[in-house]
Amino acid sequence: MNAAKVVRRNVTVFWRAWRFSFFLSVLSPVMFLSAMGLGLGSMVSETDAFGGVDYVDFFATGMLAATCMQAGVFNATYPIMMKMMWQRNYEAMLASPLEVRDIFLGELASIGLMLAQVAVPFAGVMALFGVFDSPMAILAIPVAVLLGLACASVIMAFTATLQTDEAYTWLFRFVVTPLFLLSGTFFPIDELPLWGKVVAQATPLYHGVELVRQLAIYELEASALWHLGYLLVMLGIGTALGMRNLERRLVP
Amino acid sequence: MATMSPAPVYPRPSYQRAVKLVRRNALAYKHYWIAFISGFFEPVFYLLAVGFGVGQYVGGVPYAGGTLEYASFLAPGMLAASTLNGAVFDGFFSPFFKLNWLKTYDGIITTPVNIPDIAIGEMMWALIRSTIYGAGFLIVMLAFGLVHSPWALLALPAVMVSGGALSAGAMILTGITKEISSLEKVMTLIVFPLFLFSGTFFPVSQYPDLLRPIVQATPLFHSSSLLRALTTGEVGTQTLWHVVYLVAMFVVASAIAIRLIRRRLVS
Amino acid sequence: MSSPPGSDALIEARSLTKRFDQLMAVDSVDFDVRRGEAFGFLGPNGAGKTSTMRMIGCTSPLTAGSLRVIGMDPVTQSSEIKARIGVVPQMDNLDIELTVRENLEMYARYFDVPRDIAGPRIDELIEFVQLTEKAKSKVEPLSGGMKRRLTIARALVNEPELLLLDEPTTGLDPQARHLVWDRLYRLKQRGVTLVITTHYMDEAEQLCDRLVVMDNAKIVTEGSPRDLIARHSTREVLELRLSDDERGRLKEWVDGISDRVEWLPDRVLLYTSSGDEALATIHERGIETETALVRRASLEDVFLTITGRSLVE
Repeated sequence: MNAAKVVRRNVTVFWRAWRFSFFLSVLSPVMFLSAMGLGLGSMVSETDAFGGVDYVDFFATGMLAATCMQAGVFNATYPIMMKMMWQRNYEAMLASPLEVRDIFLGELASIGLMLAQVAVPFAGVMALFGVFDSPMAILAIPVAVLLGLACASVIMAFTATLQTDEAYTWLFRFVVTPLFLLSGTFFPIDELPLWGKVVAQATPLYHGVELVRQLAIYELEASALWHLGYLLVMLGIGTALGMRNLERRLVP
Repeated sequence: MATMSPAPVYPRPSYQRAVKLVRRNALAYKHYWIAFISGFFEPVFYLLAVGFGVGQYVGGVPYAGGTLEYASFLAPGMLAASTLNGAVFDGFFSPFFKLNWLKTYDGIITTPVNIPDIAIGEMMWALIRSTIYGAGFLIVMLAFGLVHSPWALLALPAVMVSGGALSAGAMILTGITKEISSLEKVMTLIVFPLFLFSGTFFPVSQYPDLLRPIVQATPLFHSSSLLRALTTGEVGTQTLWHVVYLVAMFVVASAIAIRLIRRRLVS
Repeated sequence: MSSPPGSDALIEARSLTKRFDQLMAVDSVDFDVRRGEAFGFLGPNGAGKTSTMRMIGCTSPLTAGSLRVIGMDPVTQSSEIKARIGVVPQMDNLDIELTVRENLEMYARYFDVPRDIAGPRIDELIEFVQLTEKAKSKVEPLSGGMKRRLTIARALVNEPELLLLDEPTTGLDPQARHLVWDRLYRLKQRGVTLVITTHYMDEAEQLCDRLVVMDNAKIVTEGSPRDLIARHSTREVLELRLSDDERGRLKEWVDGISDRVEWLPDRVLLYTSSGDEALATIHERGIETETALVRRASLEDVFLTITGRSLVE
């Protein structure tokens, strides 16, 4: 499949920076979990609201999902815009037998690989912090990657429509950051006022976080299917929309 | 006549010329005002999510012999973090791009504005941005009832001292980084740990004995401790030490930064 | 070489030297630039032209030797010198976070031009470089020629006595080049001293009253373009393209018909007082040429004669 060639190009570039970036992707969760989970967590006196688990468990599972969401969104913004507009890599690729569809799917798959590279070390760090107690927890990794991909597909569809990078400032500061902090990562959304709760439940991060937690620290419930369905549908819509938008952009 | 100069005598920096960089940045940010204000919100979101969200489940933070409600503990930490944000954006990110990518300074040094003027001007601007962020955050704290003492009147000058020290520190980073990959390194290895571990989210008493002195050596620790003392009213002789640390850092770091930037711009 | 005190030399360089670690960029050069003239540095890339310009512009300290610019010392009096000169660098370094007009306004401020003077002067400059319609545009979308013109306008915002132009037209299309040349010519008419580096001989011939040829960090010759051609070349040059066989035949007896021959990879250059006569002789001997061109000798030929290499590789 031609999309594989796009993956291959990205892997080649990525490999060079890999070692250090691996170090960073281990270091970030270690720091975050130590500060919030251990430092702040040691002061959390009531754990009922967190389903009876330690705060570090609650926080770490939320962070795994949130980190993948952020990485997915980021990689669908500047890096894609750079190749689409500034370096014109896609123009060059289209001069070969590659189709727009191959480019889109190839980029999405590359983001998937990158997300795995974030999620696996993160989960490893979580294991060291003693977060997991069931083998089911390993499934939290693909779920976090799926969440990142679903976000990436929608944002790539958005990127394909942009002429400048100005919108990204808004996206990161007023969409991604509030989502990250307020969608149940740091504290249960039950605490939010009703409207906040409704908004939070509509976000992909909420569903990703819930699913990760059910797999890793809580009991699996029927609602897991609904969360999984949400993410899959989002990925499907994002991909369809993204291919359409990129086609319109590159082959006007 | 200029002959063989082993250690050339550079013209003294001029504040009149340095201020021109401040005006240049003010002019440029007219086009990028969203970017300017957006950095302010991050610590505010943290205050809401962690201070109030998680804070509910925290019984109380041991502080100055008593206990402090968590949001009141966190808020000055985030106030310090907002000055860090301002300093990093305009003491590091923006000068990094102007120096290495946009070549803005290469043009400016052909005018009567000299290299030290540029370094000083950029630090002044970063300090202004830090101060604006800090002042805005103080208003947020007042609105949420997180200011508990009239000492807080001194928080604004304290914010400036903190912003100055951190801006000068950020400018050193500008002087020693070249590659685009340095941005991520600086964020993950310096800015992020400072943000998390400087007594911002939880008190230094939570650290093991071995780590505590390391935390106490960081600038953001002194900045957040100083601001916390002022907003809670727990002011003592220790408070003065935080000021001394930050002022000393400002003086030393800005001298080093000017030297480093000169080395980068002289060909 | 040395000018008497009170002379009209605007720049005086004696044994001017610039070394970067291992690399000798400028190796003990001497030159004077007089007020009101257009002075050129001609040479290939890496000859030391830009390093020399940077030292004059006070953005690069000299390693050794001495330099006076407008009677001042570029190291200790950099601000004073820079206030009176304008610089057009090799690579445009416009402030891309500002608009066209804001670029000029900001530079006027760097130069302490009073506001009431700066306003009308900027209007005039924008018109002078034909950017009136783009005044409110950001810099990035401008074409290469427009950016170059804006850089020139920027260098004029302080009404400099001395304008340093480092390869002012490299990378421009022919139309844009001619527009830039025209503007520079007008500035010279107004009495602005121009110092120009270039590796284009036509640019040097068009613009410079006097020039030095640089190669490998040294000045190899100096004079007016016409002097240099007269001194180092013949009046005309015959350029031939031939097949390899014909090249071999030509080699055998060419000495008789020209003063000097250059065997370039793609062409043969015959230096002679009359190109037509030489070509006639060649045809008489039955040598077939693919193309033949008679032209006047240029600075390119001067450079080739002195260094044995062509100016633009």
